[in-house]
Amino acid sequence: MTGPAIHRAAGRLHGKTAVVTEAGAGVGRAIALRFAAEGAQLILLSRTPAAAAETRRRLDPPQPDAVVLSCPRGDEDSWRGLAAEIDARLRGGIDILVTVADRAPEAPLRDLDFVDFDRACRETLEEAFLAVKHLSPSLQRRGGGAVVTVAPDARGSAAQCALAGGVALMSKALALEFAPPPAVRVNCLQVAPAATAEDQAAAAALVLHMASGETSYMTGVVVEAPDGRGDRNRPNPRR
Amino acid sequence: MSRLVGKVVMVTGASQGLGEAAARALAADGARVVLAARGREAGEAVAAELRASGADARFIAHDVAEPDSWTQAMAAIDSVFGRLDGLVNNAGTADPGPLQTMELAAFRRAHQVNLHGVFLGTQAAIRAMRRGAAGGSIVNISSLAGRVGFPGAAAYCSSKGAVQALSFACAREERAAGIRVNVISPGVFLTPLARRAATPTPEIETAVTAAIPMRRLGDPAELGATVVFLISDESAGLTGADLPVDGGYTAQ
Repeated sequence: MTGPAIHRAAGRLHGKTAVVTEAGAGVGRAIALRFAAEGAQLILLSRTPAAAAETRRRLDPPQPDAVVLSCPRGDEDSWRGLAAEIDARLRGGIDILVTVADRAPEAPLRDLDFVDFDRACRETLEEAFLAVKHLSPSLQRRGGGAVVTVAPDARGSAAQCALAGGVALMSKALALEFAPPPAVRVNCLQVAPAATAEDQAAAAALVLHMASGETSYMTGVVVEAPDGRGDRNRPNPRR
Repeated sequence: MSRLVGKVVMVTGASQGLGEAAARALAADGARVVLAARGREAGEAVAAELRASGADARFIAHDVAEPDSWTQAMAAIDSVFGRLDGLVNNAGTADPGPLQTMELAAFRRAHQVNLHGVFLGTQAAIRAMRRGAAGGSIVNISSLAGRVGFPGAAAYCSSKGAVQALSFACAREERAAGIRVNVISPGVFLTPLARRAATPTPEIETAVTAAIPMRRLGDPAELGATVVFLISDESAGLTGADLPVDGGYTAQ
């Protein structure tokens, strides 16, 4: 038995290709920056490509050839086209998919317009669904890989909890669908909104852990990111 | 990688199985590792191999169920290193049998090792870490069986479920002191303990494997990275978490 293969000076994601959705700000950007630092080749998606381009500008070491693409807004044909474009640019397929969909309304239910709830459903649960549906074939072509779904806060508002639960349980179901060899592992990270830079870096470290080949037997796991509010299992102070 | 350079980490049950794999991964990432186990010969051999590869590793004969053994271990670590940064409470035992016919002594024995051993270790480590005032990270190895019931394993399930609850409470007690307490819940790995308790015959191993979504048992080396992650500052802020590493079993 030998130690895990994590001791490469080149970085823990050296040779890996990763797609990060909503990579233009917040935790998505933090994940992109960390992945680049660990040697991954990146494809950055965002509903506002200029923001993802700004993330690309900040990558260290520099990665001017990182692909920036507009993230489709909820229609299946656009996702199909995006998957085809990624396949055209990276014939070998991708190794890692991180769906970042952590924003949901914080207002209490009685103050929440259905329109806003519905939009949050599209931008979180439905986006994760579409991203995994259309990009998982590219992961499977590489002979396995890893998906990490970044979900809203499971201790927040009704909308946040509903979508956190939806993304988490969908991730578990997907983990089971993709578990037989060659496995695509699927794990989920729930994050609180308005995280500090430190919290975002902590979330990125967790995503790196779950996405890297080091955790090749971990799938179907749901974790809450540290967020400075306290420990994992304490009562929610907002209730 | 050298995420653990300077850290002193003790691993119980380090002479074989998951404890051995944890010790190897910690040493490979630069930690100074104290391998604790009852089995001197096997434990010394692992420590010697790690030293030969350039790691700082030493073995101490140790029984997690004996309070005196913890006192001696902590005194030895204090005199050699003057600090303790991490503890991996891994040592465990499994002695299957149905509840209806189980002797109380057997039930008690499972808890003495799996639960009381973790209690003693966690308490000893907290005291040492509080003296050092630099915080620390404790990783308690529970089990898939702490989350899911298995027939014939009532004592094991009970002790492993208790390890989780103990860890969650302790995480909240120690948060302000900067001491993190997290749990890993491994599924069925290729270890001597699992061979004895979970997959004793080829037929049973086939059935167990079929019940695991990834359709294979875990390689102990696949657990090491999660131990390193939780001991390292990469997981700063994370406490009271339970990370299953079980090939998807508990996602079902």
